[in-house]
Amino acid sequence: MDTYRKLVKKYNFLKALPFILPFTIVYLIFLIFPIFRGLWISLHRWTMVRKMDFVGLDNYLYMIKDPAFWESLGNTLLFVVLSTPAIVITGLVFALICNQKIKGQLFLKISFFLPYVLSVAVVSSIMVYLFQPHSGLLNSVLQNFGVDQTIYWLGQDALAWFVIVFATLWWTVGFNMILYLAALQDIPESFYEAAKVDGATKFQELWHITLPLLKPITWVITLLQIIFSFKIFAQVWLITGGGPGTATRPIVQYIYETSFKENSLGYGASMAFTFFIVLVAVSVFQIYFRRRKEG
Amino acid sequence: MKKLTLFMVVSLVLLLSFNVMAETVTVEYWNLFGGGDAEFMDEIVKEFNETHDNIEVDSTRLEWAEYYTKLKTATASGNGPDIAISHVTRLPEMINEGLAVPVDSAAKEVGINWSEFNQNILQGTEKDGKHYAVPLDTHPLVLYYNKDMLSEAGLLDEKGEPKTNDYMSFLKTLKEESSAEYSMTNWTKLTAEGHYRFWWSLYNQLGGKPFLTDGEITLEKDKAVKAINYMKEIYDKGYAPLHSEYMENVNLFRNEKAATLLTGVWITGTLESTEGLNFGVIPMPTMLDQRASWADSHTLMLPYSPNQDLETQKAALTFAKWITDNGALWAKAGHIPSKNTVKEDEQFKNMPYRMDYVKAADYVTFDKAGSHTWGIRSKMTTALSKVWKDEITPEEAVDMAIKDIDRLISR
Repeated sequence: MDTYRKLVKKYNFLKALPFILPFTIVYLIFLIFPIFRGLWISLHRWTMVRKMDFVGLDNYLYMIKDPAFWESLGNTLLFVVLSTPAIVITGLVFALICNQKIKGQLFLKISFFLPYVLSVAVVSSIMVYLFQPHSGLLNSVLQNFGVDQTIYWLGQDALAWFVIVFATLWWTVGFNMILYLAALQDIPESFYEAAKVDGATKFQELWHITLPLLKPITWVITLLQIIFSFKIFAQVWLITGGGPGTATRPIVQYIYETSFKENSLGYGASMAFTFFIVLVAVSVFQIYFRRRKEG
Repeated sequence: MKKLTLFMVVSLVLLLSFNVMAETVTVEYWNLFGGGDAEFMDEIVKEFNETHDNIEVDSTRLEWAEYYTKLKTATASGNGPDIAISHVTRLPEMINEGLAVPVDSAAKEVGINWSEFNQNILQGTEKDGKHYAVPLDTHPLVLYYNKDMLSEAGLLDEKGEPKTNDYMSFLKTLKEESSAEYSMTNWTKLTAEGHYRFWWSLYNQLGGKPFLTDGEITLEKDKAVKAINYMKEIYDKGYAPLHSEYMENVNLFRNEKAATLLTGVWITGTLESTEGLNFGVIPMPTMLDQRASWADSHTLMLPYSPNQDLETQKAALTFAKWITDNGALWAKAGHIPSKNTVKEDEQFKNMPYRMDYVKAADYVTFDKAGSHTWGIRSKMTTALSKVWKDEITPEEAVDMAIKDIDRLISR
């Protein structure tokens, strides 16, 4: 009987194989292999054209002593800390608003989500047009209201960060809102009815029913938001170029510049691989932390 | 018998047609032009193909930002084009990596006469006495000026040209005596190259040595600092605005908020199409000791290929010769043609503005530093931007730039 069961298992596996194989092959070639190849490249000096020179861990040692690396990593962390609470909470607020049975509910839902549909190039162009110091829309409006000084939105560190966080929020908050809306729909009406019978105010309903039940989805959204924020590149590149100077340059941009503008692909690969480890650690830590809380 | 005749007829026809096809050489041509430049280049290629029966140029337009990465990887893997555009400042990199081949022998066969070219531009394409590319154009910084505003301030001489002898007081008079909000505008977004180009021009007007010579840093600190201080005075006194984005600063000139615009020749077309703008143009004025200005230059190079074919090389260089002979066509895009002979061409002489700045080509200084040119540009740009933000002094900025460049070249 045992051999029969083994054969059935094998047969079932063989039946499933043609369905799994296409994806697995693509996954191995385009996702798994590059990770190891990247690690291999990071142990060499390479300018893309000549043969690679094996240098062992030299790139990593150089990286630890490179102030630009730490600055860009710090910039990325700053962005994660600034943007994650902002975009998660705003997503929640928008979802709560859109969940009310009010007039114009559909219009609100559409307008909050619509920017998500735009490409990053379009969003960045809009933001540059808004925040340009001398002919931007915002400064023109402010000047009409009597504000004399020209505000250099993209020329001062703090303001530049504000613009980037604002641009990212406007662009991507719709995604979080949709996830929250779905979770809100899952909360049974009966909970609220029972609370009303007990004389609860709207605020108490929110605090004691809604928010606790949204905890699981909030964990997911926060984890996703943190990972997205860590990987930021395109909108910074297009709006401030990492500036003023290098004040808003995130790690991905520094890797790109090192590899393709300064032709040091080995060094770029070492930073990229380190960044990969950091992201894995962040995810693992979050999942572990969540398990402990719920356990 | 019938079958045999049929077979012979068919193979004869095939052989003949094959022979005819072998006469036309296809030249794969890659370029990085966009916008207005791209349209003019497409027109040029079309006209060449129509007038040359036995050569077919097949042009591929690549995105500016990824051009060099794609060109290098394709060439390195043996799949490069037969002829490609390269900025003269990136040519040393291509030569060092073995991606560009000398063109002397094929050029001789095609009849390219090196003495017809502007020698200043041509120098940039030579290494160890060999020619590695055919220069196509140069695009330096020039000064566009608003004729109405300058005459308001009494700054036009009898010939109607700007009086820029003492440039700082020129700017001062403009600000005080004309209706302009700014005397001058240039591209000053802190992360972008614009203000670096202005600095490089000033540094060379002081006669400064190149960034690198034979792998050693030869940047002259005192001249670098002097150039920065000159710029700082202009920004501190409000003669020109800081932080302006690229198109913003062009539009400040077009909207007549700025009396002059310091930017590259490529913007001539845009300014020509602005209604009601009465403007003129001169090469970048001598603001410090001698004439000099930043420029880059497009050249046509022959990428390395494992199976070098002389016929294809000759066809490619025939194309290069034709474009440079007919430089007036490319000048429509605003660029200065590389051949001195084009200046005699009626078509070119009748184009407005181009004759006003064509002599700028004699004074351009390319910031070539081997493979590190574009990396050095960004290091210097970062250092400069810290000065405009009042975070460090000009001396500290130059020290910082030298340190960063040192780390870059020793990596």
